[in-house]
Amino acid sequence: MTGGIVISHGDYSRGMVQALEMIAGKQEKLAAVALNEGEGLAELTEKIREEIAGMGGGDVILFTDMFGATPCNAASLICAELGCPVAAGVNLPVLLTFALGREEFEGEALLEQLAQASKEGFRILREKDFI
Amino acid sequence: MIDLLRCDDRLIHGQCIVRVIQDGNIGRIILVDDFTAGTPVMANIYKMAVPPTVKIDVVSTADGPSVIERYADQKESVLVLVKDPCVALKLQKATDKLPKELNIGPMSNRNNTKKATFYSYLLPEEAAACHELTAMGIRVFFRQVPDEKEIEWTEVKM
Repeated sequence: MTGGIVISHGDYSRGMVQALEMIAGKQEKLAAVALNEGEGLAELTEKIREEIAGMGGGDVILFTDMFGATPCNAASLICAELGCPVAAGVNLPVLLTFALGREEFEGEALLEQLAQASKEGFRILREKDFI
Repeated sequence: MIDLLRCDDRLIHGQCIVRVIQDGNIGRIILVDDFTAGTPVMANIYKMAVPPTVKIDVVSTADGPSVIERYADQKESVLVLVKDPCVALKLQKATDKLPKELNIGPMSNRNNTKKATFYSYLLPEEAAACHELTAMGIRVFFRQVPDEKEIEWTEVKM
């Protein structure tokens, strides 16, 4: 089963995993890593490496809160080093798709599911949609 | 013209993209850092991270002054980004095309650093570079994002 690490500015990642578990139940091989005030790229990269090592092998996807930001830059470094793909701009629908789909799908097929979930997961609803 | 010389050890990141580049209407970034310039993976990560409308040059400290001078007299707004005040000092000594200011943003809490502001920690040699810049008549100030209150180096006891 593919592992996941959610990486964010502050505690967004922990909150997201907590929210996910409220919906999908307790998760294995899913960790949250925070970039805290006063920390830089080097510390964050090290924290991600430790989480990957703790997962004991197998594929890992690195979910980050925003493309181009430090969590994404740190994950990109690990991607270049270890080959773990990065899913930048994660939201709850993407994480849910990951949690529910990772028993059945892996590799590129799983990444495709995540990309689709990201497209479908954000919608704007207006009053006229309901009347 | 060179609008801003900024020191930020996370270089290109969320705060820089969302506030510094957008608020300053920055069209080009000159990123001066030996490690990044010498590490293609790192350079590619930062090149990918900037919005598609912003151009970026990643150069070594030695090449920095000539690249800065190449863009200094053009119309587009340029941000010169460095990872530590010692590099800013070298650039200020090597070219007169930079603004006579150094904006220090977030600097992480590393081994042997001291807290300058709640978001900036400096090594002794970095603090020494700030003193030398000040002695050269260059204003050194701390600010993370454009509309935040600035903290002058001269108010920070280091």
